[in-house]
Amino acid sequence: MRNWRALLGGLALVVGACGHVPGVERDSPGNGVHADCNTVAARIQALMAQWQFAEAEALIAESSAVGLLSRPHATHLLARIAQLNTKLGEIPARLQRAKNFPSQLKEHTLYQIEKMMDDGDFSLATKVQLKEAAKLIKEQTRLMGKL
Amino acid sequence: MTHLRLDEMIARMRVAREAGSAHEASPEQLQRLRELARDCPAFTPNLLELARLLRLTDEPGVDMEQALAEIERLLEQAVQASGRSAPALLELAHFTDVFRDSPGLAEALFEESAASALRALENSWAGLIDFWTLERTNDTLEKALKLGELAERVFPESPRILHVVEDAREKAARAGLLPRNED
Repeated sequence: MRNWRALLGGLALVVGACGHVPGVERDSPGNGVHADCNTVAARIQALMAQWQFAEAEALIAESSAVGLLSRPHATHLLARIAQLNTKLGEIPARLQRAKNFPSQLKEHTLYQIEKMMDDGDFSLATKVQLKEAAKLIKEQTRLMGKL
Repeated sequence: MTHLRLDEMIARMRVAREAGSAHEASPEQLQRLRELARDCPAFTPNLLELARLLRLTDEPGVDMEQALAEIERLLEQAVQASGRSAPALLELAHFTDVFRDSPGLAEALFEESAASALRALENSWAGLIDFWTLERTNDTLEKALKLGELAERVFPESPRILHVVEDAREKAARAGLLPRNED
C-alpha cells in the first residue's frame, strides 16, 4: 500500500503554490498544477475516509513540503486528524461531568466512535451515547479554538 | 452608579487572562471575569469568554448542573446584549446542542445565527463592492467585479447586491474593462 508515494513522486515534478480554497477548486476546470493539487486533496480525503491516518499524515507532510498543498490547508487537515485521534477520556474534566456521560467510551477515539455509528455497532454504547461522545470531543476542540 | 469605560472593561479582561490561561481558567481568572460580568452585564466579549472557560474548567465544589445553569444564563445574556448577534447566537446554539436535550431549539438557534451572519455578509460585501467601485482604479474595479460575481451567486435575490454590482459593471464598462453591450 505504497502507491500514493509513487503518485506523489509523479506530482512532485510539478511544483506550485496551491493556496486556493478546497471545495472551490472542485468547480474550476482541471488544468496544470491545479489538477495535481486536486488529485492530492482527493487522495488525502480518500485515505482519511478509510481511516488511514498515518498514511494521510505522511502524504500531507510531503505534499506540503513540495508545495502541492498550502500550509494552512495542511495545518487544517492535521488538526482534523488530531481531533479524530482524541479519546473521550482526554477531554477536560468539566465536560466529562456532563449528564449521562458515556464513561465506557473513555478509551475510545472520535474516529472509533464514528466508526461504531457508521457500522451500526451499538454493542458498547447506544446511538444516543455515541452521538453524545462525538459531540463532547468536537466541542472541546471548538472551545479551545483548535478547529 | 458610575459606569466603567470601555477601555477599562477591556483592560480588566486582559488582567483576568494574565491571571490564568486561554484554555483552563485559574480561580482568580474566573473571579475577575465574574466580577466584570456583574459590573457590566452587557459587555458581550466578557460574557462569551467566561461562558467558554466555564465549560473547560472543572471548579471544585461546583456540580455540573450548577455550572451549566451559569453558562446558559451568561449565553442568554450575551444574545440579548448583542442584539441577537451571530457569534452570541452560535455559542448558545452549540451549548443547547451539546448540553441540553432540545435539538429543535439548537437547530433554530443555528439557523438564526446563520441568517444574522448572512445579513452581515450581504451588507459587508455590498459596502466593499461600493467602496472599490468609488475608488475607480482599474485594480479596484476588477476587484469589485470579481467579488460581485461571487456575491450574486450567494445572494441572487438581494436588491442591495444587485444594485452595487450593476453600478460596478457600468463603471467598469466606461473604464473599458467590460464590453458595453453584452449581447
